Amino acid sequence: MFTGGLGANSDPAGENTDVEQGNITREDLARSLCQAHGGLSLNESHALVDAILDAVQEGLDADGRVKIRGFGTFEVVRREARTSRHPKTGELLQIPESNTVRFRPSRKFFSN
Amino acid sequence: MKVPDLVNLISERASLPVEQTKPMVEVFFRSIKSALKEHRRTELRGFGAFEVRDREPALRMNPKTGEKVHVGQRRKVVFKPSRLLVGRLRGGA
Repeated sequence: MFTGGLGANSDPAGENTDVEQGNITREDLARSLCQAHGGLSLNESHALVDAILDAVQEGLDADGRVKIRGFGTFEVVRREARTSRHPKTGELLQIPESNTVRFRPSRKFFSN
Repeated sequence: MKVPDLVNLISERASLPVEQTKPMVEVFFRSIKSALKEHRRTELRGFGAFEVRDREPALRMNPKTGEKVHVGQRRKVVFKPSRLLVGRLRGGA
């Protein structure tokens, strides 16, 4: 039942132009969830997609790391402050330290 | 944080029972994975984008035998976080 496949027919009406380029969007994921669950409306499925992505972000804030078995790990990494030059004007820029997110795919990513 | 905690959070947020949320979370990540296996980019506005890049196999010498070997043609998953995600993160840009 929960196949989760995104075949070429995930957008039969051809409304989503991203599908033609092969891109997967929130819309496609909401449709897969809708189909897999059977009892959720498309709106509820969209809300579920939002909830999943929000939860990953919260997990990152809380733990600095979110590990999804068979998929990969999201991790907060710190970027140190540095000085750089504006590529056009050549003026020196101070870039303050910041945090960003790194994703490392699970070792089994392509094998299952 | 791992999947079970994630499922609890999501279940609460989406007001969906945990038993229903868990398979949905699995479908979600499996869908992204199967799209990437077909080299389809996954773009989640406000979160980030995943794509697969191919790394050409490199020709290397085996230092012991002098043999030439092709070293791993590899598929690599690249995630580019959205500026919105980074901005919402504690201490993010």
